Amino acid sequence: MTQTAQETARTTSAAPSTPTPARNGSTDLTVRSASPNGVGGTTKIDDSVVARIVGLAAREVAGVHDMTSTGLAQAFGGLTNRVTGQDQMDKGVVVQVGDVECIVDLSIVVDYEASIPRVAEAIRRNIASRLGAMTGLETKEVNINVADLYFADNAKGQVAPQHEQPAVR
Amino acid sequence: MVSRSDREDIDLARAALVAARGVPGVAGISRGRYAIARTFGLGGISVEGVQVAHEPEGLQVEVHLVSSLVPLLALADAVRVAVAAALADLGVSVTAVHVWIEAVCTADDARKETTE
Repeated sequence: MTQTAQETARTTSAAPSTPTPARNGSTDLTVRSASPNGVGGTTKIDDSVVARIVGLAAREVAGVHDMTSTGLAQAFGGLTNRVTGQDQMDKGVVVQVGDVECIVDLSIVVDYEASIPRVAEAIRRNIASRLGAMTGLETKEVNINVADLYFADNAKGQVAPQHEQPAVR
Repeated sequence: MVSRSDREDIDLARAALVAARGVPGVAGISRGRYAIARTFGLGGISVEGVQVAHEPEGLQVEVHLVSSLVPLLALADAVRVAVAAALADLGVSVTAVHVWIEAVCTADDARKETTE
């Protein structure tokens, strides 16, 4: 049945010797486990699930205004999501999922006046926490690209208060 | 010719589907990435999201599902136990239940589903 999946599966009891993200062929997280009643089997978590959890975790952090698509594939992915009515929780998220850990690349829009280092740190902590709790994955890296700043209406006013006055009289 | 094993497979798939759906945290059943997760029965009947396979080591069941935002490995174990118990009630012993989590569903998604 899932021969390939079984070959790449790991046992939950034994820690693998080289816990590095694997990037060849099938990439979804696969965990082999034995239930208390003795029924074995594998659990396969799609990469899109991991990306979605990452997107939700990043958006939970105060100071993150939005996520932005990166690259053509993501842009077209966003377009198809808009057409099909799906949400875009995984917008701006690229994940590389290995057997036990993952690497996350994010592209975000930060609220103006938020401290970018603190927001980034909070994002890293929240993603590691959520992914660990929900998927058992360790987060090896969270690479954050701050693509833009978001100015609320009042902040815009503070930044350019004199735009209605002529530069010269 | 009517094959007895065909009937059994679809019955097993149906039982597995009902059991998996009943596990708290399972938001729905998925047809799989390429919509190939399906058990076919006779007369055009099929059960989507569940595949039953008779491997040399025994019966194996594959369940493709959409999860709520819950710990996924614990959910998969709960599904495994529920499916095995449901099949045991039919007198069938299953050696492995493979759980594929194809998507996660947020509270917003659930609200959208109910309003549409």
